[in-house]
Amino acid sequence: MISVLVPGFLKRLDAKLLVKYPILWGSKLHFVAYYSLLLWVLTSLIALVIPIDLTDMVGNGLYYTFFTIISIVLLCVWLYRNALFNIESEYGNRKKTDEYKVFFVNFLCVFLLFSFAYPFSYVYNIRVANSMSKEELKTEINTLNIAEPFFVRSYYDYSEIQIQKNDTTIADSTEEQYPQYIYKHDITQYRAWNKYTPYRFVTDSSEASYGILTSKEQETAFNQLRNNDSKALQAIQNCINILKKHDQKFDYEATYVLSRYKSMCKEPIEYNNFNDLYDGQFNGNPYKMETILRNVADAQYDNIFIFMWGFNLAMFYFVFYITLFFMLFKSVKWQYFLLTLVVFIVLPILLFIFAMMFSWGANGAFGPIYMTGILLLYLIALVVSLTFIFQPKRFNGFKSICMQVVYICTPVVFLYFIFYLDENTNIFWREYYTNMYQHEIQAAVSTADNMKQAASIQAQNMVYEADYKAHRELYENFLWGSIAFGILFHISFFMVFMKEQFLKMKSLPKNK
Amino acid sequence: MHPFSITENISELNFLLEQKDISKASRKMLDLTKEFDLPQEIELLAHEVRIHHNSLQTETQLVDEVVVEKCKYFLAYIEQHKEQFESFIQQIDHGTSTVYYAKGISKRFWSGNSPFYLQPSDLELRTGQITGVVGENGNGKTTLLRIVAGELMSDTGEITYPLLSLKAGQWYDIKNQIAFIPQRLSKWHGTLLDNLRFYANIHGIKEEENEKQVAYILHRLGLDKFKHLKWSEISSGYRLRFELAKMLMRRPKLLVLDEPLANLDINAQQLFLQDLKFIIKSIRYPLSIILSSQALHEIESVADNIIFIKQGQTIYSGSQKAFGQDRKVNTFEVSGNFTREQLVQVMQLIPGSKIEDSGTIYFISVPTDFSAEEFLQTLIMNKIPLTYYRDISFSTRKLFKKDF
Repeated sequence: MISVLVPGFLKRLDAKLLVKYPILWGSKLHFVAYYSLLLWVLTSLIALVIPIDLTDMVGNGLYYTFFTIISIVLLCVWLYRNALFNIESEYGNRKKTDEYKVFFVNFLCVFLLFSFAYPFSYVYNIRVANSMSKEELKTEINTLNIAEPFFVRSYYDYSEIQIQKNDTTIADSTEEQYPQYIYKHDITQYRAWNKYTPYRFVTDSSEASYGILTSKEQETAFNQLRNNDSKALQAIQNCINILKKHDQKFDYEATYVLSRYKSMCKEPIEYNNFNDLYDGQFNGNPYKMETILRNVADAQYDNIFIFMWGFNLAMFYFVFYITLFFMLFKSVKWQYFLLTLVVFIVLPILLFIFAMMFSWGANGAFGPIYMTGILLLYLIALVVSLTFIFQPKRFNGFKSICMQVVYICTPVVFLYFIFYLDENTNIFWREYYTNMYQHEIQAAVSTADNMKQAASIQAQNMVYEADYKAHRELYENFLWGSIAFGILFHISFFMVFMKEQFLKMKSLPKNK
Repeated sequence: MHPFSITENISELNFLLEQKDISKASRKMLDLTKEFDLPQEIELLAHEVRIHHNSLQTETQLVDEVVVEKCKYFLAYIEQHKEQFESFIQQIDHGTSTVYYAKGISKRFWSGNSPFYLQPSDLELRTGQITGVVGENGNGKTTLLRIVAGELMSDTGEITYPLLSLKAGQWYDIKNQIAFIPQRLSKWHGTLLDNLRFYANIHGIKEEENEKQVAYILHRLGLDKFKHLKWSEISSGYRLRFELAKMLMRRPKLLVLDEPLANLDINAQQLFLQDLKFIIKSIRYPLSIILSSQALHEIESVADNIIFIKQGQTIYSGSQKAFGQDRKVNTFEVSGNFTREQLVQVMQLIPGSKIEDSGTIYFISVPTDFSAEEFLQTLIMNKIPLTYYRDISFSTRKLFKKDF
């Protein structure tokens, strides 16, 4: 039944791999690659035909959930098929370097099985990016930004005026008397420039942001419009046209908007007076319009999550650990693999309870106890593993579990250690900024009785600031270094070394 | 001298062709292609005959004369180069080598609530020899085999694998070269053919050689018809043969079989033992076989050495042929439609004879100067209606008797 779905060329390839490359054949990479390619095409087609809603990119979450479910199902099928044929269980011929091939092939399979997000997001992104040209986008951003003060959608966008109340009445005479104020907004003083400028353009000084007016330029352009009714009307009408173009509801005429603005400019408006604002439907527009422009800008300048460093690092760790657990499963007796999974669940819980008990009443002691406990457990597992590595006599379940724990934890143990040092020591000046600077240096500055001394303390402060930054940068570098070192160390050496130990243990005669 | 004889093979092949038994003839031809470096066209003939045989619908279907001619051509080539093959056999036959040597191995453990102790014993397994381990249930046969296969750790003694030239502790590499078929076979997935190809591949037999070797072993062990079937679709007898085929792909130096005959019918048992006899004769891939079984007579028919274990103690360990040479009596098993009194009456004619009734059969001991022929003649002349008779004077069957 299923073989009907397998094309002839894939069957022939399968037969060829079966007699030539057992690792590849066992991994079923060719099937994974072929069906992944089909799913890529399918997801790309879906991305091509689904309606685009520029105001709601999160709506695609439904598709991602659907793809994730498919990926999980396919992963389970693949894990099952792959586990059926195990070279080491049959004591097949092998070279130490085969482990690199196994890792690479398995990693690739898992990655392909979870890669549907990439073509889907990419194609969808292209469609979003092409929904308007870069020039069009910049023109719309500028047009909306310049005319925005005329619309008066929110009083908070305008400057606030504090006016002291004349009739200060104090109910309780024992209370200290403070003057009371009322707050009003001056509609002539607009302050929310850049409302429609996507954040990437506000902070970006590259060529991408060229052509987008700065706050100052927007203000200048607006002031010119304010003094010329016909130009102002045209600017407002342009804004309304853009809203309509993007299917945003707006039921008012440009003349109404301008006259409303003018009337509101006559005197400051009270803080809690919302009567003169537009209805709710209209109030949603600036946010929605801003979302549309941001989404298009992100799409045009490749700012989608699949190209983001953080997403890809998370994806890497996810794929890496699925691969690692699966390779471990094939290298050890399955009963002890399951026990190791239980250990990974139960031990942190027990340690949590232990740390809670010992940190009871001691503020801030829980974290260090828990983190030290984790590190100690790893070290114990490492020592027990070494007792097997140096004297492999007979199969031992406990040692097998310890070795598995070490195998799984080693890629992240260096990262954890750096994190541990930062959390529990001041080696990377974690405590400096809050304690040293704020209390000691500032205190010194405040007690300085002459300018020279103050300047000296200020200089000292600057040195400390620079030192602090250098230490935090060092910490960041250590973090990234430990991530890279952990992964490289594991893949290049530790994985192969431990595989030899697992096979040694698995093939040892049993005690009974 | 190696048990493989080219003259014997030629006459056997001649006989099979006369009988037009292409099934066995094709197997024999393939065996020869494995043992000697034959020219490609001659090797191809053997494979063509195999393919032809596989295409036949039934065993009784008429054989194509062209195929018989091909067989004859093959045979003629072998006969022509007989001397060459004989010198080749002499060249590579360095006598038997020790594959496994153990001194003082023992094992003590609890089985349920009762303790078990496999007492210290020595064991030497040599290439070209089959060693049978016999004894009653729960007496330590499986324990001994598991120690030999490296599945179980011996409490005492020393174990070496001289032929494997490996140090103790290199268990992966040791197990790469020894094959163990347990009594309870593990389930496998996919088709029989895929499994065999995969297994051959991971043991270094790749590409064309893989296809050839797999085709050969499938044909040799009669698995051709089942090659596209799965575990659940074949009988336990063929599952065992598959397991054997798989293990042979490994070209092991030592083959350990725990109760292989246990789930086989009598025909399957005979076929399986025939396979073992064929395997052990290989000159190109010499190996040693050790197997345990309850089917004593079948084992004795193929074994060179016998180990008899009783309650963990090795009662006998040595050559099958040497067993019973120093016996004090000749022993026979008989049964039939007669009464104990009738038998006692007849046995009184043989001075020094003794009868032991085991329920369904009688064990009769007579002095060694009274031969099997004379004993049988005495029974027949006195009109004892026999349905079963066996001379167990040279069989470890005697050891199963209660007085042992």
